[in-house]
Amino acid sequence: MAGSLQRKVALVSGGKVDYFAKANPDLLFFEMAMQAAREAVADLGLQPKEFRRLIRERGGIVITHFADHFAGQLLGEALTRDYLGLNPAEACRVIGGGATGGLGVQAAMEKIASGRADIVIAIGYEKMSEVDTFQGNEFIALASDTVTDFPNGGYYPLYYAAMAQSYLDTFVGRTVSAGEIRDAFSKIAVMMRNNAQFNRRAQTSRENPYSTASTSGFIAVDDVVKSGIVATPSYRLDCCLMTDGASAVVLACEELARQLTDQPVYVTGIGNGTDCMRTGERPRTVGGLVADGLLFPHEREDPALVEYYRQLEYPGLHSFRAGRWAARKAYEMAGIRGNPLEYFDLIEIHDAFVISVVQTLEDLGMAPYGHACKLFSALPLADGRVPINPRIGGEKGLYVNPSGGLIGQMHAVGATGNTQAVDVLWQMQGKIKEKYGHAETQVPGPKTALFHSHAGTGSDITVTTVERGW
Amino acid sequence: MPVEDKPLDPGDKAYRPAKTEVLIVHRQVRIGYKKSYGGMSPYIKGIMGGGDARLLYTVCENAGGHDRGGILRFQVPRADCPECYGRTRWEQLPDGARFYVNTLSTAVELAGISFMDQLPVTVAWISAVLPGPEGAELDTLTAGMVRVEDYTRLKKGDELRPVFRHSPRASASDAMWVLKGTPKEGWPEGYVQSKNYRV
Repeated sequence: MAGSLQRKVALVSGGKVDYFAKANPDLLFFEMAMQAAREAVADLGLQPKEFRRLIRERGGIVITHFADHFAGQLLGEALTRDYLGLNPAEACRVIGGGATGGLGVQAAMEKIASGRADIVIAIGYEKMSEVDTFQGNEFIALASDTVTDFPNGGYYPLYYAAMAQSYLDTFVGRTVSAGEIRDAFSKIAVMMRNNAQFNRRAQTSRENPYSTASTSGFIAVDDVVKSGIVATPSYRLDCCLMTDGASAVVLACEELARQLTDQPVYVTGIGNGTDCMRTGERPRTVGGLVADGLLFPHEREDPALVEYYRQLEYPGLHSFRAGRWAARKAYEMAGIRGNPLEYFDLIEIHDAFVISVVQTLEDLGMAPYGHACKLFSALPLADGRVPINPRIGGEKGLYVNPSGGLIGQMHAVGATGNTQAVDVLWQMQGKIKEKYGHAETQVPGPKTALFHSHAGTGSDITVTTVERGW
Repeated sequence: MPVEDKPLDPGDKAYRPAKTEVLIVHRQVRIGYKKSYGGMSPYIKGIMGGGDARLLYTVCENAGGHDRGGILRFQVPRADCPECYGRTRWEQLPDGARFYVNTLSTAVELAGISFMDQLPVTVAWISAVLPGPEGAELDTLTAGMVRVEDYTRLKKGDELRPVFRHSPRASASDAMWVLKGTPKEGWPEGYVQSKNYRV
């Protein structure tokens, strides 16, 4: 596979809205973007006047938002640029379903790597509260085929639940039991939600003034199965949030990054992948992983695993081929050949639903297909709770979504992939206590990390790998 | 696009003023579309037939132009082959075709706004197998709503049969599915058996 970065690219600063919220009527979408951009600029120690001059003379802007119909505003990116005083400048909008934010951050990287810009600010936002939740769910379901799939019960939690059912049908009795899977799902939901309690900006944080009593605070595994079935086999607390929020990340070339910060985080690999939007059109090929050359180097070195994969129907509805494709490209660019579970210290992944966490860790090659549940079912419980920000996979393992992810922190679709980049940056810069008011979810000295974003039922997925630059 | 703003009650639960007392309005937007089904029109016309409805699929026999060789059969049908870029040929699924649940889920407590009054809504991804000694399975699955008495008992591998809306709406939901052998009283309201597919 081809692909390399022509110049080194660094993440240098980030910002977010003060509070992610189910509904934030106090801010227009470009006012949310201002909160995020202001923080990212302030963290660089630059005056906005200096920053805007840099963007105009040496830089560019990428703005991401997913669905025009949520805000009822086309070309919202222009209003955002206007509000941030960023005219005239090179700018574009990038969009790709739930991967919109991640694709935007990668577009910013490409601008710098190509030499077209030395500094880029990527801003993502979404204001989802101006329609009610059921209308919002229907808007999101418009990201399915509106001719064939949407008229048949169009509802994203159902699409994901069907993939969870397919996962159960494929692997229960083969690699894992139904009880282990449910145990893992509940522990994942608890881990995300409770990690978010140490992030005062998180939508479910009890310290967030926009949160409501019924949707904030710590939860236990029993709460998950008592929360009601949204779509079989998924419970309400298995599902991500819908959020008003914005996020911004500033990226720069190596020379400028060194001037702007002592703590640059360098991009080592980027990849994105695709698959059919109609999940029923994805291949169901026995041995497809092997036949299509989709194994990672560490998997190819394990004959038993290769043989198992020769018997496995892939991807079907149980796995995201797009995620594997994206990871393969990013790992190759970064020169990662070993087990990524051991290589990375930290990952922020798109946990739209608990099943997504399991599927994604397998797509990323961090556990064999059908086995990732065990990484979570092994977590100990005390009073129905897993430890805060546990290391996943033992001593050589990594930390998954210390931020609380989409289940605990936020899912303002156009901002989400951007937020994950900011979370990884702040983790590597050791800023979690400063930014979130608590140090409990600060990963100790991370050197390598990955962030991942995901659209639709896996139609577009991005993977970006980074390393500490000091 | 008609737009109508009305003041909203500040006591609404979403209203949480901070430093600025914000004004919130209720906005109703009405949009009408004139949609074409384009090259997929024969499929939609087929399922609009009520008691004479037909399920169509398309075939591309240009095996040499396909990634894995072999004939490709598409449900949902497509007018063009995604692999060799040739035009496909329309075929009708015969009465002897068999339909199976590949995977499924049921929306129990929540749904999109159009389906909230229909809960529980079961959707299955369905495989179709042609009759005959070779029993070729179509290469893709189609999603369809299934009406069953107890959704918790429906599972992968169950055999389904299609029923069709008596007064069609030119929607993919003009076809729905029931378990094979389901008596008439178990069919969804307003749906009938096609003479082409005995339940």
